[in-house]
Amino acid sequence: MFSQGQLRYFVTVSEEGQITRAAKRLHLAQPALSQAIAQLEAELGVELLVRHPRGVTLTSAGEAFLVKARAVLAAEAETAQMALSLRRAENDAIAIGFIGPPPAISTPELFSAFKERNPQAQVSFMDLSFPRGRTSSWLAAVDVAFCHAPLSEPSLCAQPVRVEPRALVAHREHALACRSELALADVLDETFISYHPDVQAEWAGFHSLDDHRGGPPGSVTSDHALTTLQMLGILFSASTPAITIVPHKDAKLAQQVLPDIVAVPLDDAAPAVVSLIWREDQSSSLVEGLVDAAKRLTSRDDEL
Amino acid sequence: MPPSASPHVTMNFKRGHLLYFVTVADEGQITRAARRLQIAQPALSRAIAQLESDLGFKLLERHARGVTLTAAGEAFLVKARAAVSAWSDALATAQSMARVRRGTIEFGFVGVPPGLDSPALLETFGQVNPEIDVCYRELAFPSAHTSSWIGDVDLAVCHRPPADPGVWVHVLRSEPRVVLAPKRHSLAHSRELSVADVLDETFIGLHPSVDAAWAGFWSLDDHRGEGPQRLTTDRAVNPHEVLAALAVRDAITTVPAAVARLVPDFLTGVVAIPLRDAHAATVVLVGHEDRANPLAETLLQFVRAAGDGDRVPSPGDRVPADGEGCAQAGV
Repeated sequence: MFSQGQLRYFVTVSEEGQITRAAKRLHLAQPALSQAIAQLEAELGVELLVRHPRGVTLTSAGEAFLVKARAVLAAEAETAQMALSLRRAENDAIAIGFIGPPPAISTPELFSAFKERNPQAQVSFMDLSFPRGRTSSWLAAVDVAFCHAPLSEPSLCAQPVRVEPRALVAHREHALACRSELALADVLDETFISYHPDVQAEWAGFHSLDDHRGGPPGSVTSDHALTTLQMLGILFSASTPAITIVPHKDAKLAQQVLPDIVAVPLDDAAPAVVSLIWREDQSSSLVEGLVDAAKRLTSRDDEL
Repeated sequence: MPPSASPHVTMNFKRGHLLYFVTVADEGQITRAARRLQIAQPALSRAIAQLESDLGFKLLERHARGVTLTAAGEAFLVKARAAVSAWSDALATAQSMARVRRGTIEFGFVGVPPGLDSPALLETFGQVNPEIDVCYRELAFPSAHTSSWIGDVDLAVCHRPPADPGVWVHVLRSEPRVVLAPKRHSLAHSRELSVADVLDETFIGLHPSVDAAWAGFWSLDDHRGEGPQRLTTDRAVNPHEVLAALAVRDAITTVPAAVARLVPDFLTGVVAIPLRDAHAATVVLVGHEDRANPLAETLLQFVRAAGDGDRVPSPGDRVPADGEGCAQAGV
């Protein structure tokens, strides 16, 4: 038999290709990690790693076992996430993930409407990294996410909350920062913030106007962003002045909080749809309550 | 930036408890589940209560005659089942790799042991690969996921099981289907039957866990386009249970010709009758796509090579072409 810890150690070592680096990532002493892997090999009765002077590679048995070990860790993580979600539902709690400014600041009317009908709800917010891999796995840590919609999957549900123009955000020293409004033609050839290569390509592309250019930008920053904070960091630090594109309201909030940031609406870009995204199998009465509040808001907006 | 990995979430429940919960949910009763898990019933009840307290929500509603799942229990069951099955798959893969080191292949079969079915082929394999030890393991009828059904073996031979992306399939041969009936059955004296003669008969029932399409093949659903009018209340999960049911029921089943050749030799109360116009059964060799087992690969290559030449004995050829042979076998 083998433990969850052993599987995690083995997967981390194969990802890092080096015991030393893996030990660092796992916050373990290197000899302890070597010993744990050796013990796993002894228990399985098969060698998983080939040791070289500069690192390790997988044997063919190791390759096959890696696939299974990853599947176990993913299934157990899913089980734990589901358990946490069910426990939250049991305790009248809801975890709301978001990208960009906190949704209670950007869209307070949604949360006051929700609170009014669900006064007992314990709401917690979690700043999510940009969507990577399968949306349902990315989403598993929260009950519902509030953001520009990531890749859709059959098991996911979505409810639009805000439809608004896209806007450019840039440092105030950027050449485009003095303009009060901009058109696509003005910005398509700019240097854009680069998103981490693991971030869903379509979602990342929305923020560099790939949908209007028909492909990625010609010039991107060398630093990758995986979170909103990293993205803002690059705006301040990039050696080449760079821009990115976000929903207009989010851009204006960034400008309010960080006076060195400038938001300029893009008149002719396709609009951004900020939505609630949740997993069908992780729905609860509070998720339904929040979705219901969003529906009432959008239908009210339509009437206006 | 760390490479993407499954997020590590701590939730204090024991892996063994997940298996307990899944078994209780499947059996619908603590008592039956305890029997299947081979633990005492109070210990199982305590473990489930512990799991519920670790999770912070109820999984089961207890009734006088068993248990049902709460809504949260239903939602949790889906994930718990997937986790248990991923775990047993990893374990089975590890065991398969350990067998490679020992030079052993686990060869699964349903019905006729491959050694009786294709003796020449396996004898030759043994001569060519004396360092490989082939062990045979009888399997129950296929269930939903073929990869987990053959989880404990490296490869298996049987009528084509449900397709599964994790499983490779090598077609060995086609075999006619043959009717098996108890001697006192009204059809038992026929020398040969057509599909039309038997479609409305009562067939032996298989367990609901058996893949529905695979089970239906043996009650000729492929010819009828739906299940038979009447199935016995049996819940057979392997050929022995089908034969046991045949012995006491006024019902029939169909089997591949290779099975029909052997059965009447040891079950004198049962006769095998050729079925003239039924679609043939497809006997296949199946194995795991993703286990990287070089011994299983060697056996597959050997079978493939043999299939291209004349060396493969085709047991289908030895099936009696007329009722005479079968009737004799039945005596």
